[in-house]
Amino acid sequence: MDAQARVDSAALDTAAPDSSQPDSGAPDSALGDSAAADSAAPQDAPEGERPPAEDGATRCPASPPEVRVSGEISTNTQWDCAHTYLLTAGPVFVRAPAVLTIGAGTVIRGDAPTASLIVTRGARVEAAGTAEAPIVFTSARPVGMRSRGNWGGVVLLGGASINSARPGMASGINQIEGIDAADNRGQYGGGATPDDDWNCGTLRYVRIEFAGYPISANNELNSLTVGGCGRRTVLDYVQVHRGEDDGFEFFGGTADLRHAIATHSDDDGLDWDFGWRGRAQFVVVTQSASTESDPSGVEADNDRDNNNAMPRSEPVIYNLTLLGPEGMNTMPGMVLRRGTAARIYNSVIMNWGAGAIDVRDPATAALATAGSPTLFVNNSLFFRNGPTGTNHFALDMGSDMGFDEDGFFRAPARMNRFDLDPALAAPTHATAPDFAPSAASPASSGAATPPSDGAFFLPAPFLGAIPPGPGPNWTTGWTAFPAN
Amino acid sequence: MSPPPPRASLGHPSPLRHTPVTPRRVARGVALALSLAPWAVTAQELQPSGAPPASPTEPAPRTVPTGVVGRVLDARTGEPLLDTPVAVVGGAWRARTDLDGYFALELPPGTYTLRAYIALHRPVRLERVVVRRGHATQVTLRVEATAAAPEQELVVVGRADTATAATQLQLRRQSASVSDGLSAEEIARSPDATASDAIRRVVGASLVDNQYMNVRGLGGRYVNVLLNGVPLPPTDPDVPGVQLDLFPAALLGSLTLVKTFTPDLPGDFTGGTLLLATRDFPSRFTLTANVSLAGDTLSHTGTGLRYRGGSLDWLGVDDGTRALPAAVPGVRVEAGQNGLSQGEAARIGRSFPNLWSVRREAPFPNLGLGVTVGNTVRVRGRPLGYLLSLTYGNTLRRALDTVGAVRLEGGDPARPTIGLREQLSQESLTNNVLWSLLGTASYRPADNHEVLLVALWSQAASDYAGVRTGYSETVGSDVFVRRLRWVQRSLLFTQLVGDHRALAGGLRLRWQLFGSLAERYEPDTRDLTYLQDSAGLRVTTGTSNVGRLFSDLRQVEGGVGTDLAIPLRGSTLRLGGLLRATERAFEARRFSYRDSGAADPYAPPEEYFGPDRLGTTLDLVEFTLPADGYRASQRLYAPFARLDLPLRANLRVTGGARLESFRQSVASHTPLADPNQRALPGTDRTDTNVLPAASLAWDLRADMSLRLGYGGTVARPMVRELAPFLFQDFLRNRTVQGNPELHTTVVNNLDLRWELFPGATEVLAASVFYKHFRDPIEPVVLDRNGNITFDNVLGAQNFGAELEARVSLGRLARALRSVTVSANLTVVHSQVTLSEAQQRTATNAERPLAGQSPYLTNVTLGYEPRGGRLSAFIYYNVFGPRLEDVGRFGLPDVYQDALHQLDAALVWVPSQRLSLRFTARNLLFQAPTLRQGGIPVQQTQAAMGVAVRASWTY
Repeated sequence: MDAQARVDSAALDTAAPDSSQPDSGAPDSALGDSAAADSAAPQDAPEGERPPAEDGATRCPASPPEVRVSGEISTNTQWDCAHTYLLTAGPVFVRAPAVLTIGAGTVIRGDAPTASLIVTRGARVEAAGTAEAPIVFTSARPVGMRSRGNWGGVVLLGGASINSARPGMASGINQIEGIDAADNRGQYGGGATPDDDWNCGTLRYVRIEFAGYPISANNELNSLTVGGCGRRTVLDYVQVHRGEDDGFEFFGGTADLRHAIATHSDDDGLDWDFGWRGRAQFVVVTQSASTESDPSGVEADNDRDNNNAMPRSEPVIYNLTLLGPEGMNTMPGMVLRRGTAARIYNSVIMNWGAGAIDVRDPATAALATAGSPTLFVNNSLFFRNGPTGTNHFALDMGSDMGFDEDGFFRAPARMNRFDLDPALAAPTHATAPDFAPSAASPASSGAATPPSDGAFFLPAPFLGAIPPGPGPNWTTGWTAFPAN
Repeated sequence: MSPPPPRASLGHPSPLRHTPVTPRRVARGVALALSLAPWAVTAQELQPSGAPPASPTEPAPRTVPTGVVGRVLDARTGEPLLDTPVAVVGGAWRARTDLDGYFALELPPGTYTLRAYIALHRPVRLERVVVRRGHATQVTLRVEATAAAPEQELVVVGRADTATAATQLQLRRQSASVSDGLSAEEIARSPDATASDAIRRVVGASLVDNQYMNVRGLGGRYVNVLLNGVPLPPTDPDVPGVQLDLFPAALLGSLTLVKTFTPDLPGDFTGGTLLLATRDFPSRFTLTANVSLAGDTLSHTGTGLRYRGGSLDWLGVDDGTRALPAAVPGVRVEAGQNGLSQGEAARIGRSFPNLWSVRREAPFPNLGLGVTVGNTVRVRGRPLGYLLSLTYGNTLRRALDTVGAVRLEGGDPARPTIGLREQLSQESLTNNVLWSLLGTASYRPADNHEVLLVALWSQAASDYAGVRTGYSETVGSDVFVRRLRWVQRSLLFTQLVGDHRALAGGLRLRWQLFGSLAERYEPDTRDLTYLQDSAGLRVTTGTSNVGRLFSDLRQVEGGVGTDLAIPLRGSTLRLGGLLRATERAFEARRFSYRDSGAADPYAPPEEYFGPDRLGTTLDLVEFTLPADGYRASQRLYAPFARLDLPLRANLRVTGGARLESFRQSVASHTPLADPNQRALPGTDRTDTNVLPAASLAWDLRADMSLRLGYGGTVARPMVRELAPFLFQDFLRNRTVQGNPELHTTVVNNLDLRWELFPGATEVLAASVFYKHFRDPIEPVVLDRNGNITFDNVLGAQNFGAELEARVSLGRLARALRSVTVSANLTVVHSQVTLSEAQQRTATNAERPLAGQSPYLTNVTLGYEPRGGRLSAFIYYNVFGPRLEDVGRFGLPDVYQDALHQLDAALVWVPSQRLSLRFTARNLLFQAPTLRQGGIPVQQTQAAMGVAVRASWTY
């Protein structure tokens, strides 16, 4: 509970700099917005907006009228829980300099696999729900008929740095996956003049369900795609649930992620590429069986075409709970490849039938074996991984030129512990999982202290994403785990 | 007039006499009577045009203030004889006939005897020709081929009626533009089965994928193909260009490649326009049948991958086996959507054919059959020539490739080394079926009027089964990916062409009406990905792993062209134009499967996707994309004016301009009934370009000339490149998607050419050329995942030089007089200019235009002894490394290695009715290799092919 309190206040602290940004103030008042509000004719309106419900109280009607949304949002726009919003086929683009503000309790539903919300470079989304009234992006189908891939997902694009395969080549721009080739609204990355403080907006107390759209190999919409977003972007209290492709995928940039939970993604729970250098704390990834070609808990890349492309993917992650599918499975927990660095601490990694971690190629292995390694998992708990349950690093796919995962991750300097049951309360419960370890869990101790610089990491003297012990925690209230 | 030849008539044409001839007589020598069908004239005259022929007289039909005008015809066929000297007996006056057999002699009033003589024909005299002041006396001379015509040409009867090598050279000599041709005789001699084989023998031409022409290293959008003067529609939406393998060589009368623009040609070419002419008036009843068997060391030595197809596959028609099931509704198939219950969705899923397995089968030899029948008959006393040709081919092509991908690795960060990221093996078998039915009918209702009707129906199918195996770096596992694909193409093309000479005031009118229907049908392309693990092959699902694609493209085209030639005091003004309208509709649907996780992933595919699984452990899901349908429309309005002006006897100027107003629209739509249908990015633009052209032809000597040409042309984006349809490139493991923002490329072309004609069939030529491209279109890598789109780059320049020779080695030593060498060499320096934004993402700013080879060479060695029954030919062809994919984001450009091809043919004629041809292909065992930064990323295993073909002639 203490942790909970601290978390919230700290979250407010970190949010504070945002409001001081000249370009990230509160959206224009409702009256200042394009007054062509379509509340009178909510059907087929290009943008929906309406004065927000009285603040604080967020009184949301039981069955709010639906506003259909398609095309572009190019002026500041507010969505609130007095309506529901239907994203029809095709992406809805928020174009610079528009800010899309979404009020607490708002439900946005996607109607087709291609229906998606794309916040283009220069635009922002300010979606701040509350634990009591989260903002929900979900399938437009009736409850019970929903499934992965019912709609596209949410994409945030910004102008922070991404890596480039050839050093010195200041391309720094890429086309995000899942958007038409020639549509330059899909571009992200800061090019020659990146801004690593770039603000793509805020997602707080947001749930994204039944999304994802793998159009073709290497061309897919994830539940939440974050391309080239910078440090001022706030992703805090975000759940992605039953996505067709990845849960969270970061393409470059420096955006941070906290209080995040990825449940039952068809491909990977957390995926990063092209030089992501964000920080992450309190992240739960849990997977179910999948017939995707390469599902895993975490799939981490630097760059396929140049494993040593700069800037390198190098996130710092504390308190990750990585939970494999129940029962026998052939999924790896974490695939670290294509030259990614990562400093991962205080994590719980369990139930991965193929093995906990695979360091897949020489360029990645070299970062672990370097004098001062930049790729490691420290102070973590490994339980029931690998085909036998104790051969945690059985997985050695690919060609990492003989990198010895077992020796590396078991080395005393890593301070990892093995084969101790973290005693999670009900991690595999179908609709009401509880990822909290028992108070007596080995996860209650052995934690490294997160750095205090940068005011991102919160003190958390435990392993895994959830503080040990029963009772409400940060996942309480706003998360949901519907099967369909 | 008395019947025995040689005959001549004065003003009154004699009726044609139908003289039976032996095959060997048909195979006459180089000065063979040439029948120029009107379309051929259309095609060729734009280069040669009214441009006065070798003899510096006026254009046809000639006229003089006082003298004789006339025409020289073959007595048997009634065909005009070109370049035939006509002389006044006992006088110094002489002239040569033009392309249409016309000649004119300016003579003082009096009575003369004319004499026409042409090799291999009996000379003919026409006596007592009276010339009166102020009158041009009209005459017709008819010459007959001599019975003793040598039989050194082993030409299949019925093929030699059109252009011979000599006439092709003749045409070129007279041409105002730069062109190269191949006569039917040459085509027949070569081991060529289709136009795509034949084009390889033409100067500066090479082939891509064995079916798309590339001229001076430019291909695709930079070349154009006209059949009898009418632009041919491409049938494959994925690739620009006409598939030349659609045209059996047996149907070709001539093949001419024009490399410089004249206003009467459609302006959308830069490299060259290929003019295909069908054969026309056969000189006698012709019946030819041939059968060929062929094989290669790869396709016919081991077993190949096949799967169960339909009962009509051998005809190139899917019998419905692969068709989209009738149960599939017009709405997106997904349980719970569009009123589809779980049960209905499962039922739809079960209605799809459950056919996935590939098996190995022993090969059958490639089979080719052909029958051609033709004759010239008389209808109302006028000649009617017809030809009907039916060809059928059924071939197997097995391919073994390794497909790799590279990455940048350590070393100097500024110049990282290149390493292989992954490499997979691929094996496939393609069964190609092609048959075509072509009919032509030419009729000459009056002496100066001809009409021609051509109808072509062609049906082709390409049936592919392939697997890709190996360790995939992307998936991190051994994979086993298979694809089954059937692509069916139909083309119905008709044209009606008319040519009217000697109209009032000496006008000549040519016109064309044309229409075509094309369909490309790709039913049920099945992709399926397995992972190979210790327990066996494990199936994977999801749209990127298992897919079924159905697509259908239909195109209708129609148009009209005219060309009116107006003689103006020695010069000719030509006015005309082309109107063309094209409509295309395309729709695709895509399906995949979603697994609930309960099925055994190691089960064989027919069990895994079996009917009892659908709706229980497995769901069919549709993932048709919003841009999976499009309608495209094109309108071309292109009037032109061209003036051919003989400045002096040996100096001709041709100039003019063509206006091309081209409207192109592409509107995408989802092929599904969707109430939320919304506008997608589309294209609707009209480009109006004025394309000027000017050329100067200067005869330095009777056998030597110099040509200078300038022309402005355009290159337009293909519909496929504009439509945002997403195409999955299975072989290269990437996607290709169009760009609606593409626009037209404008090209300025300059050509200078020197030519020497040492003998009737000999030529030496040297030329230099320069091309400037504004906004050329290139395929570009779109994103860091290597997916492809198209874009206009800022500009490009090509500088080139070309050398060509066709000589008899008899010049060196008499013993070698049966040996002919033709060779050409084209060298091109190409450089693109990139915008600042393009430079930021391009790996190399210094590079040639994509697809441009720096050099090309063809060498043909022919041994044809006089009177011998055996002859032999050797063909060598090489094109230099060409840029295949433009590298972006630091990855190097992808080049195709220089490719050397050596083929040989041996022809044996054991009897008058039978000829046997043995051919060998790829004697050097070469195969294309793509290289990126020096590392092979696609290697194809080489195969050597052999074929034997027997032709029997009635």
